[in-house]
Amino acid sequence: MGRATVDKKPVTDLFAPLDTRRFLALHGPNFSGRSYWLRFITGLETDMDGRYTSELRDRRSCAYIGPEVYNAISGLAPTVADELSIHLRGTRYADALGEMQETLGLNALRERNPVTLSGGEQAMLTMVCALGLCPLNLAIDSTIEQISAEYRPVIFQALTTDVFPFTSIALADNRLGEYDGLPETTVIPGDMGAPAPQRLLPIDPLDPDAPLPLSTTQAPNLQLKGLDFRYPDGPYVIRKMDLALTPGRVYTLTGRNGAGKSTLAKLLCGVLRPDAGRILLGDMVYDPWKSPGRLVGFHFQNPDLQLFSLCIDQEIGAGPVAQGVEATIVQDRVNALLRLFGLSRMRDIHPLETPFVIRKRIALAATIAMGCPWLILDEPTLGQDDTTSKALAAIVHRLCDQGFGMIIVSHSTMFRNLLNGTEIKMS
Amino acid sequence: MNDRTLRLALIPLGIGVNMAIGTMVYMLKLPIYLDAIGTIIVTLLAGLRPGILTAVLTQIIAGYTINPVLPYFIPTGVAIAVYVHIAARWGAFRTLGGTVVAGLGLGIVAGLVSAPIIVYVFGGVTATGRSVLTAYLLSAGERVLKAVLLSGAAAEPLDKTLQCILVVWLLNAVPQSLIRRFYNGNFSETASPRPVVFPLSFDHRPVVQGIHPVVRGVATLFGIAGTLMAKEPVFPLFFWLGILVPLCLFTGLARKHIRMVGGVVLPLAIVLVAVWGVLVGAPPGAPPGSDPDGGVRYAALIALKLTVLAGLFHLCFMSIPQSELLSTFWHWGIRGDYLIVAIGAFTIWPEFKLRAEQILTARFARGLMPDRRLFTRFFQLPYMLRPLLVWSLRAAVQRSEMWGQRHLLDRLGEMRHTYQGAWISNTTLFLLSIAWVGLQWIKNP
Repeated sequence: MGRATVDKKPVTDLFAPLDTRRFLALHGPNFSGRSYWLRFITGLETDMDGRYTSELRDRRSCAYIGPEVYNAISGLAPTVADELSIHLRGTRYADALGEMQETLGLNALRERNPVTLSGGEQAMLTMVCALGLCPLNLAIDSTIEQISAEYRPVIFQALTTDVFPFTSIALADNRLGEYDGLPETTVIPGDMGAPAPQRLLPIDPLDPDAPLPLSTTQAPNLQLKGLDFRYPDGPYVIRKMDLALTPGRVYTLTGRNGAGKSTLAKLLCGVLRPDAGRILLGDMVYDPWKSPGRLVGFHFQNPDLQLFSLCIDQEIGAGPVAQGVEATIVQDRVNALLRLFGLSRMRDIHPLETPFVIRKRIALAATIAMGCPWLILDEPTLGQDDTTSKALAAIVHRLCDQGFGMIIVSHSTMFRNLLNGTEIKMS
Repeated sequence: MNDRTLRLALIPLGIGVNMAIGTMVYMLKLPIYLDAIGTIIVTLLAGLRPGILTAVLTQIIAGYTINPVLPYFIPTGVAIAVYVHIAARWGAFRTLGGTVVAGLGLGIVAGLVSAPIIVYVFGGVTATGRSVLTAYLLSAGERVLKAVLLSGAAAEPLDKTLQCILVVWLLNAVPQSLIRRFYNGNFSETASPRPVVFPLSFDHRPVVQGIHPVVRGVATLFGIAGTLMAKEPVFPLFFWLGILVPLCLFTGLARKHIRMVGGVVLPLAIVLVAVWGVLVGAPPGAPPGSDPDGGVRYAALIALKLTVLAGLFHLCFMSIPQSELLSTFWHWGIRGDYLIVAIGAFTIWPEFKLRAEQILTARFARGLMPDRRLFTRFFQLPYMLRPLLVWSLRAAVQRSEMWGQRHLLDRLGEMRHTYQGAWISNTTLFLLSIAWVGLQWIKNP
């Protein structure tokens, strides 16, 4: 791979043993420089001297797929079929990719608009498209964790065997330890520094033991009685649902895409209104539609669309301020949450200026700051490395012990095992 | 990635911003337009030509998805882009005072350009609040053009000043590291080699469509020309019931057409009858109160013309299957960068709609929308635009990076398309449109 100098140490030296490999799976913590390296080998970043990797002189395409999969869709094709035909024209891998499309279920989606697919479907589509370009180097960065477990072996099978002989594939992912069918993983050298901008951010590790001045009174029981919901002109997403949840226990919500996980969350936090049925908090009938986001807080999977402020401490304080909480109490809460999520030294930075991993933490902190007795967190570990995921699990347990009701949506088996909660399966 | 790809990637997102704000305003049921924010942003960040493209395509796509009468306001959109470009050259958006002055001027320009369109296409009345003022001036004996100009002068500057201030406020809230990519225009040149020339077979993608794209385009143009020429209500009525409605039934658009007629044209028709039949009591040109029947006839003619124009536009775009969009544009002679922008613009809307809804949802879920009153929703709007704009700019940067890295623009440009279909339907449609224009020509030489 190309030659770049980082802290006077050439990247080539750090990765010398990997040069001849066709496939490598990189394992390492956040901010270890792996994204920078993956972007460098695909011609998106320069080395310290401002040069691009010399390998690209042989005029071959490269492809990089980042964690924001929705931006890896070209935006040039109205349908999945067009997206595929733009990428796959004249490809040398026609047979292998045709088979992959069939097994990954992409053929059933051919008439759909690629931007409206779910995250996992977009990840699979963009991977097939990138391979269709016959690229010299293909870098897959934190994309596999968004694909559901049943399709992962198919992808690994294709990537690790000699199906794509003209392409070197580099894979980095936070959940590599959980996947079956990977030959071996390579740990990123610990002393590798990267000149990427995020190296300049003063990021601390999560501190799950930091004091947390949030209400410690027991949250009321949450009960659903005969809940019905359907979108206009659609079938019932939720039909006659009964559920009784008690705080002090972690609930994990599971089910395939489209099973109604996020719809249930939206009903509980007052974004949508049920067609029939009641929600009870304790003995009292609760209508979240009338006071949205007050008693049930909801953290979304995609952090970018839930950040609104110009600096991180304002962002975290925005919820309590809007609820009319006293200024000194808000300040205490914000300080505690900044420490809890390792953001203390970054409080003045624009939330959207930070990398994906940090934006996710900010959005989590902002949801918890509202102090709603019930919290729903959707994929809190997206993009977070193993150490951070463990700390997140500890934070969830702590909030639970303080009397909060917790509902977690997660695809990661490791995280669900750490939480050791009660499973609610949706079908 | 280079300058060109970044501009090309930005245009569809500018269109998305225009439309998303339009939808948010619609969802929040607000009494303003805010329909040019994306156009202004693209003009400021990428220059005049991208700004004009954004304006034109916004009106076309908004006509296709929101309100079929909007495409007739393309000249207004273009004027806005040109004016903003000149004002930005003079540094008008650097201070708050300058922005306000520029906004007032923009309102006057927009009012001047849209007035003739409102008069000649819409009979002086649009379904907005300013029609009340127009009607009052008309009943006081003012001429139509003057009345529309005066009512525009009262309503437009306020809306446009608000938009200019909002744009500056939004751009100031974008992270510096992101906005710097757009400011000076010379983005760093990267290793973006020309693609390896594989032995590409020029696989012609066959199109199986009932109507050839060229016939579709020509018939629509003839239809619009004939309708604009009509002087008697009976012709558009016949054309609508005899041709458009059966075609809508045939292509499965009947429901959408009914919704459009009921939701957009019917309210407008009621206002038109009220203004010309009751308030003014005469068709334009006659003294007020002299001929109420003539006023009603005039209102009916305009309403029917609008129904036909809107229906034609609907039929032309809505009946193209998504999978044939690319080949339709290709057959229309749209090539190169224009093909990329057009296809990007028509593709982005579902995604933008999704994002706008998600942001609104997130705002509710975080408890930042304390209630659902109109007043609250109005003042919450700017805060919702911030993440939408930042997401758009980030998406533009990432997409342009990807297009360059993968040579996607070359790949799209090299695609060829062929047509397969029945000639009977093509000939019938073509002859029908010729007959329609011919009939109007004989009636009003």
